[in-house]
Amino acid sequence: MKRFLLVGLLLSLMVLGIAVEITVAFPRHEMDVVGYWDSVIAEFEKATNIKVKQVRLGWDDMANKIITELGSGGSSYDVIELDHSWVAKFASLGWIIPLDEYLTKEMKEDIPPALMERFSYNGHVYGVVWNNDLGFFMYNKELLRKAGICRPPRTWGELSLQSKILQQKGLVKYGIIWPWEQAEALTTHFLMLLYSFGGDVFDGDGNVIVNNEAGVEALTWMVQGLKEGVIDPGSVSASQEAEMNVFLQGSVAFMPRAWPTAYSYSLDPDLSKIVGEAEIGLLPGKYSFMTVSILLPEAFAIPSTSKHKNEAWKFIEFVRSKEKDRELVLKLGALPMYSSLYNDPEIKAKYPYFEKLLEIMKYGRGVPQVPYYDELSYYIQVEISNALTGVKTPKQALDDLAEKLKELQKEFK
Amino acid sequence: MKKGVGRARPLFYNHFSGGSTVRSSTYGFLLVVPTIILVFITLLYPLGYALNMSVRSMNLLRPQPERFVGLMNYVSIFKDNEFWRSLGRTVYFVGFTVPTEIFLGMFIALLLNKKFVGRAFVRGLVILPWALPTVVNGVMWKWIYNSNYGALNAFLTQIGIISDYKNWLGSPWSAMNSLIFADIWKETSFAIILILAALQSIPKELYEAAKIDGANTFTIFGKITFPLIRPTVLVLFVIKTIWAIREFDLVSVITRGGPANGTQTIAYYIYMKTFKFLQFGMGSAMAYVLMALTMLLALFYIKLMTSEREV
Repeated sequence: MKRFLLVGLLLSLMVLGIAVEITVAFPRHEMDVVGYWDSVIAEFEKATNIKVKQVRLGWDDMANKIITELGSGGSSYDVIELDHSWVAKFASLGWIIPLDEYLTKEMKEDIPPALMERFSYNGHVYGVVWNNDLGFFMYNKELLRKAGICRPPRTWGELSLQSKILQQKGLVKYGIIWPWEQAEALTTHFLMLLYSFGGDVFDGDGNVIVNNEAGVEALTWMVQGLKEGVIDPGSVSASQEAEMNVFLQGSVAFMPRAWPTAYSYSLDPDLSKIVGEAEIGLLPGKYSFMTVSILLPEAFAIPSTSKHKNEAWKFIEFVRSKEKDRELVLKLGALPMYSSLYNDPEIKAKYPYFEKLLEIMKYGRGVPQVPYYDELSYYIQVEISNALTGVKTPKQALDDLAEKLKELQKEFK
Repeated sequence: MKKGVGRARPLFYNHFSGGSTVRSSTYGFLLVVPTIILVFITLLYPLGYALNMSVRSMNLLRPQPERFVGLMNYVSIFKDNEFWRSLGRTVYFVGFTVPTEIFLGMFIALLLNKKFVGRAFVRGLVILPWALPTVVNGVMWKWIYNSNYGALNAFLTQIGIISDYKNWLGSPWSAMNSLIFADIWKETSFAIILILAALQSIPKELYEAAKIDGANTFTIFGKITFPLIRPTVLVLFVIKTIWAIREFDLVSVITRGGPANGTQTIAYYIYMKTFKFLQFGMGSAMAYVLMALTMLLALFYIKLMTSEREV
């Protein structure tokens, strides 16, 4: 009897010793009010006998933690958040490992190439999406109808014009709201406008072209909109949250870059005064035949310092299978990662607007993939903010920005 | 000859060795050993580590390997316009907040030192802003300043001071002044508390004597009250200046340095350089320059205080 106990004790000790623990660090999901991620991680622990330690913070804190940890060569994390803007930085520094060999057949075949490309660097895939996100044009169709406008604007000129009409009829105080406080969102919003005016930060050969005609035109439109009063002057200090609140109050008619949660909030009577009035559309362009959208996905990646790479991949494979992606979509209303899920009858019935988003996603563009993205973003924020507050003219601000970017390029040659 | 110091005798009576006395210096040293270790781990070691980083090209994002660069980082600081601009903004911030907070604090403390109904309650209220965590304070003011649904706009339009909602954080100048206002609102409490404590330690007899001699309120303040709270005020100046130079939380929560870098204080700039751009070498060098400047200020204050005592 005693011997059995002893053996039993030894065996249980061995089992406990074998159970590997991995640490997973990714931000809390804004839509996850039902605790989806906790439950799926518990499922994973049960299915594999791998213990998972979660490190979950807000996005900015998570970014600081991961970057300082990887930058100092630490090995605390086995699975990390990989933001769409970090790919070149992390990959070129060797902080994360390529996942090409790990990817399942399902992932290779069913994840849209545009999404795969967002997390690729030098021909290797480094991340598997866990939060598919994109920006899209949102407008208040009820306000437009009241003003006698039969369709949403297709050019930036039309957007200004429609705003003026809405304002003249006393329907809104300002037509448009943007989140243009000096923060990351200002960068992605400027890039979106820049692309839609036919501009870019770098040309195909890597030359800085942000201050060319298209760039100046885009920034001038922004500054002009503020001057003419079609853009809410509060935009200059608004965060995305503040922007959304203003739109959901029905105080403005246009929110040029909304995201899936913002749209689903607009349908919630507790949060929105405009239930059923918000509509998704294509972003205006310089000409009516031009449109873009900005892809802002987040992925899982495996740090090269991880001591449990195989277990880490098992985790990613488990929580990002098509079956789990479907659950995520149905429970949280997040955008699917697998393209075939857009045809899933249950998903189609629950989220009829996904069809539109799939169309918009076709015009998806990303941020420039450079190892110095954070610095690039900072200089964009500062110079655009300089132009918006009238400290510099648009041309001057963009010329200064171009100089900074050229300096950065030299340092990274 | 100093007063109050008698014949040297053991300061501590050792209970553990059966009543025999240990030499006071050894015993005293033993008592401070844990503190010394703690100070070494939390202060001296990081300081030395940062000094080492500041003379190296520790730039985690650059492809070039890390190497010793001597004083190159310090030289580039002098060429970095943004560093000096941020320093200028910090000087403006400190120059406005610290004197205002101390002056206001003194004024309110003098009021609260008078007897009136509900004094205890008001004294309790005064501590509230100080009890609020800075980040919470920041979030609160961000709401108050909001240009679309902020309380400040609603208040000012309702009492008729402004006719239209203003974007308080919309231009570099007004954003900076808004931050200063938020800081004053919170930090004045601390000055009140300290000055009030100093006021209460002034013996009543002094005032009574002054009144008998026919001194008026201003003379009493100038000859009795102010000289006696002066050391406290000086200490406040030192602490508050150092705190204000380090101002980071409010900037980070309310404006993130914007718009147009108008509220980017030196602490925020160092943070960006170090933790966003991962230029640890440059960041450490900047932190050292800032530390040197702060220490110069502190030395100046301490000098002021000691000369005060000798008078």
